[in-house]
Amino acid sequence: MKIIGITACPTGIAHTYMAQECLEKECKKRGYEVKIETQGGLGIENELTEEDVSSADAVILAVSVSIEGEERFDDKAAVVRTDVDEAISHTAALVDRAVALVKGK
Amino acid sequence: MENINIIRRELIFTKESYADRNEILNCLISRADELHLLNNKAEYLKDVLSREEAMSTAVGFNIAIPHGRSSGVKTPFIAYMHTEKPFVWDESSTNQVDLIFLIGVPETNENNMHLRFLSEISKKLMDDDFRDALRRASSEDEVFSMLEDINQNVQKVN
Repeated sequence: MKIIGITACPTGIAHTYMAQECLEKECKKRGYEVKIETQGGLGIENELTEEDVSSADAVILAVSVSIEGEERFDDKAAVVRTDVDEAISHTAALVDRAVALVKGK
Repeated sequence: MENINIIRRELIFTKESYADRNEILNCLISRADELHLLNNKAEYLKDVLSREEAMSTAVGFNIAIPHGRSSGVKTPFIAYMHTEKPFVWDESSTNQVDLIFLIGVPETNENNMHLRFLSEISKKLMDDDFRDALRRASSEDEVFSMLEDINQNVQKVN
C-alpha cells in the first residue's frame, strides 16, 4: 500500500506539520509506503512527483485552505479529502477510510 | 546563519495554577511584551483570538498551540506553559489541555529559520515520549534546554 497526501492549514505554522507527522507515523506503523507534501509557511516541501502520484494507491488531502496542484490527483480513484485537524486527532480512522476506498469497500 | 533566540528562558513557565485560556494568553502575551518582542500587544492578542475562533488550536494530546502571524509581533518567539492540571481549553471541544505553546510570528519575515524551528517542534509534539519528557521536566531550565536542543539542531541542518 502506498499512500500520498498533502497537508495545509490557515497559518501554515504548526498544524500542517503536525498532520504530516501523524500521517507518516500511522502509515509507517502499518508498513505502508508514505509521502506527504506540506504546503505551509515554508512553501511547498517534500513535493509529490509525477512518479509518486502515479504509483500511489490512495491520496489523503488533509487541507483546511485551498492548495496548489490539486489537479495532479484528477485521475486517482481513491482520494479522501478532509480538514487538517482530522489528520491529527483521528489519524487511524482517516487512513482506514483511504484504505477502504482502495479496496472498494 | 544568524541564530535567532526564538526560545527564551523567560518565556517558559511550569507548574502554573492557571486554568483559563484567556488568562493564560494574557499572561504570556504580557511577558512577551515586557521582553519587547511585540509592537502592539492588543493587535497580537486580537490576531491570536481570531485564529482560535476560526479553528481551536487545542489539537488533542492535551496540547494547545495558540498562534498568530501578526503585525503586532516584532520578533518571533515561542512561549511555553505547563499547567498543574489539565483544563478545558475552549467551548468548541472537550479537549483538555495542560501544555500550551504560544507562537508569535511577524507578518513579514526576512528569515524563515523560526518557521523551520516551529515546524520541527510541531512534529516533535506528536511524539508521545517528547510530550512525556516535557511534562516530567522538573524545572523551567530543563524545558528550556530540551527546546533549545531542537533549535540548535534546526540551525545546524539548515
